[in-house]
Amino acid sequence: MEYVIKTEDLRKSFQNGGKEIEVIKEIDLEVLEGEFVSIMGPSGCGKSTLLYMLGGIDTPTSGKVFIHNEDINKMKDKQKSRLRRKNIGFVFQFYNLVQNLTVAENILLPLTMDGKKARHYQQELNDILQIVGLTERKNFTPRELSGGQQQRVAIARALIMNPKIILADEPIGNLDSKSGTEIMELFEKINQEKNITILQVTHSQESAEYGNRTIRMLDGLIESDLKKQIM
Amino acid sequence: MRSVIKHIMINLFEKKFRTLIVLLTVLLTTLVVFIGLSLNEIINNTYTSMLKGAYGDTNIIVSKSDEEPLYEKGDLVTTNVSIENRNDMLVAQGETRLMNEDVNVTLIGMNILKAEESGLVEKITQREEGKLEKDMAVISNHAASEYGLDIGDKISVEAGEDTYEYEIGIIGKERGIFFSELDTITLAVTEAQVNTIFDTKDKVNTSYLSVPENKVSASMEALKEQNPDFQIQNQSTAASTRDEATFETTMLLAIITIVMISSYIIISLAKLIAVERMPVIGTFRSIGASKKLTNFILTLEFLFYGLIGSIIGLALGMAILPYVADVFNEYKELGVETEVNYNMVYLSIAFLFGTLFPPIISYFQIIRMNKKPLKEIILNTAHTAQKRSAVPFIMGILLLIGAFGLYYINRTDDLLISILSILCLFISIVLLMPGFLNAVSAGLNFTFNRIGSGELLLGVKNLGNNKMASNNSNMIIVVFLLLMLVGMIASGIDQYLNKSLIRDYDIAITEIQDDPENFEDVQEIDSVSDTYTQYVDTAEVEIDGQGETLGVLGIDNLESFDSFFSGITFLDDAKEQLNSAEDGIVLDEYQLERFGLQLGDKIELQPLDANYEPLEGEDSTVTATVVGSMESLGFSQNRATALINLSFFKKDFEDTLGQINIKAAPGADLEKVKKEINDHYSNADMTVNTFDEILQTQKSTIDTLILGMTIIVLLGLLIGVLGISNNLLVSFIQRKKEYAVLYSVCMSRGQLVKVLLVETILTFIAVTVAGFAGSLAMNVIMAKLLYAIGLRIDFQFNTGLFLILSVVVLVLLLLSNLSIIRKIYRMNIVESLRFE
Repeated sequence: MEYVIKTEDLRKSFQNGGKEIEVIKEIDLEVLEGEFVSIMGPSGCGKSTLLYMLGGIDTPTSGKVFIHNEDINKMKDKQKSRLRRKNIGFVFQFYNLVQNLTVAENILLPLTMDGKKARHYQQELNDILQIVGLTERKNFTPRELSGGQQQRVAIARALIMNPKIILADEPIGNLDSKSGTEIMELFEKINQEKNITILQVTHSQESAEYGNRTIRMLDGLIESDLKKQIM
Repeated sequence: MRSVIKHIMINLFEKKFRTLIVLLTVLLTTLVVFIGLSLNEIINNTYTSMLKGAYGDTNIIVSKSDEEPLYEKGDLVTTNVSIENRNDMLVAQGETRLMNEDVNVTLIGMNILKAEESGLVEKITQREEGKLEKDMAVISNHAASEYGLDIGDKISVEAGEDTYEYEIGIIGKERGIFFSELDTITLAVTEAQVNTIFDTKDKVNTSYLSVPENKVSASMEALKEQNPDFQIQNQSTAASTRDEATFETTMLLAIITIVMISSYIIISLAKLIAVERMPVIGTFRSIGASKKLTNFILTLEFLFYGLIGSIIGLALGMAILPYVADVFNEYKELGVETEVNYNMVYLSIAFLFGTLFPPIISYFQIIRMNKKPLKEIILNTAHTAQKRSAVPFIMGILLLIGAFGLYYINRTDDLLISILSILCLFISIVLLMPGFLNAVSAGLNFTFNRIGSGELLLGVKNLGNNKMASNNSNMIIVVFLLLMLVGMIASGIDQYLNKSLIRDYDIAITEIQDDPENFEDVQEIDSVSDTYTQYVDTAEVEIDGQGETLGVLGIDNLESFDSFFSGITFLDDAKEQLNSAEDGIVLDEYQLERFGLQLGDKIELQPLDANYEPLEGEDSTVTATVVGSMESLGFSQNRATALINLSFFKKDFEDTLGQINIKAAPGADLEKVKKEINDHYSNADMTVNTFDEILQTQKSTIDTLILGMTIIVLLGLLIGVLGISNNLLVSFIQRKKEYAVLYSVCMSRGQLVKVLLVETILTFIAVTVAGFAGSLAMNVIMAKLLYAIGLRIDFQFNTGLFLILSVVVLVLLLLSNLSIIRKIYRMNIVESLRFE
């Protein structure tokens, strides 16, 4: 099977009070197509930083990140944004929706920014709204939705361009348990039905169970990397 | 408490640029309020000082108004008048030749010692012998330096048919009788010497009296009663040409304008700062601080801004006040120094305003923000989306209707209603702006939905929904409209003076102390082609509680009046009606419409004397019948001219402002004609001016007013620009997360910049469209306000100014965007996504 994400000797350090603090140390990681990976670890271990570097939002101090065998850090800003639009879907803990746009407009945003006409994608929109269960809320603005519903919109937005990868940073960290379960079931469904590779950062063992691979990090290093059948 | 103050001080220092903008806004507001309030008093004091300089201690001026202007000192009965000083003078005109040019000479025969006591003459140097002897004269130091004269020099003066020679014995200061000695030279000599010129003995033609200030009115009454043949004038009204009320009103309007702009900006700043501080406040509250305490902390921060800003503003205001006041000193040319004084009341008002206004305004915003759930405050999940509420829109519509409603009911051009109407219009525009932006956004979205790029559509969407874009547009539109307002007034006046005002005469003889009939032979002077003797008095009229001071013209021959003055056009058969009605009056059609007058209506006129007091005492009104209307804008900008028959005029009015209008032959040298008139009537007490000189006097007064308004509104613009910059800066801070989200899910930094530019261009277009509509509305509503202050001229929409302002707005917006574009390119996306 093909590696969709690969890192080589990935490092990231920050300057803090004149000192250099290395938060990611020499990480070599390979993620296969269709995997559902959960990254776990204590706060400050570098899991979110790793996720942002994989998505090309953050840049490493050294090392390489390959998405479909392309070194994303050699890409220009425009190419990176195209990559994020077409191949990667992001889901954040606090949903990060654009507040002055409706549910439909938020979902279609990556599409319109790709130069496509929203009206040509109404069927896709309806399909995705059905998947996330928000058909009735199409014209609502984010503030009119619950946290769980907003996270569903964020997932729908991540899915609209049929990406190969979804990167999720604590996707249920801000939700009640019922909504959290619903979202994780949705991720599982997307992973299984659409064969989309999912990498989620989570503190919850329960949500990690939805994936088929768990990476544990400590102090910027991968402590363990276990696939489900082994677990 | 110490930790609270420390927290505030850290805030002030950490956000240096923000602090600077807030402080500058408070500083400028305080400065403008202080200067605006102080200016009128300073100009009044300067004017008083000018009068004092010209008249010394004199407060009553007496002259004779009958055919024989000369009188003996004893002719003036002064029983029961407490005279402290009296200066009798005999004035004659002459000519001399100095430094190879002909110079007009005013010879004043007077008692120099007495004049010194009254401050009319102030010696600088004198000949060693001391006493002024026969054939000796006093000149001013101005004349001495202008013509290189010194003690002992001799001057030959041609007066009448003879030549007289005087030796300079004393040089005095450029005050009193030497005041405003422009293009002429004044010689003070003995009374006997001027009597020689007139071939008279012990005669005078003017008496300056000093009486105690509290006895001026009583003394004038007594003098009038005992001397019916004399003209008794109060010194301040005799020289009064300054329209204090108009100046005061204009300055007040300018202050209101600036306070409105500043208030709006402070409100806006308070809102934004409060939003930014909320997470910290959330932290304070989460560790146990009460709402009350956190409200107090934030309010205290604004008090600090107010305190520091107003102290610096006042210091700066006090430092620049003398220079600003000097700009407004219309009498600088006459050597009058600007009388600057620092009024404690104005200082206190400006200080209190600057210090307390920011915390008071922000307090309401803080309370509103702090009402939100603690979780929302701590996590700062406040959004930049515009909440859609119909209330402001409905209020805006109601206020707009109110503005025009007030305009239409304000038939009599009441000042207060006019101000209310303009205020309603301004507030309605501000309230309607978000709705308008929304409509523009919806319209553009509909138009470009099929063809527009993603960036364009997102920018269009943001214009309608984003409160930052709306805030910016409001701030720009307020400043835009105010500048349009000033510009339209200025160009309206300029247009009037240069185009609408008809040049009906070339030269005018005014301030005539003798019988105007004595000047009938003016027509015999070379180059004089036509003359018209104008009998003028002022009269008050009050209809429906609204007063007006009319300039009443008594007309002898309507045909010759009509052919002489083309600035007045009689409407319908007004001329015939006036001819046939003994008590008839013709008013400007504006006044008829204003007061709802119909032909045949009777109006009560209260004729006024030279002191603008009722001619025959209170309630001594004269009834006149409205017999016709006219269009008189080309004659006078206040359209308050009233025409009556001369017989009616002579019966009930007094010729206090009479003048003789002279038309010169085409191509005539007006200065030469003017000189000939002066020579011809060298013994008469009068003033001769060309039309351009009179126009220039009017223009300089109005220019000063416009300058005042322009300076203040430009300061308003500066405050506005600061507010807009601050808004854009804060909008970036507020929208950082939005940008980071967009970047993380689908956009490049370049695309973010494109969205920003689309928003900017659309804001510009919306502001220009709203500015255009607002200016047109303002053009209509403003007319009432200007009519209320006596400027009854046509105001046009100023296309040139509109285009200039539009370009300025575009440039300012694009310039403000530069720093935001830089920030977008340097933004740390991860930090913006994860932290506030």
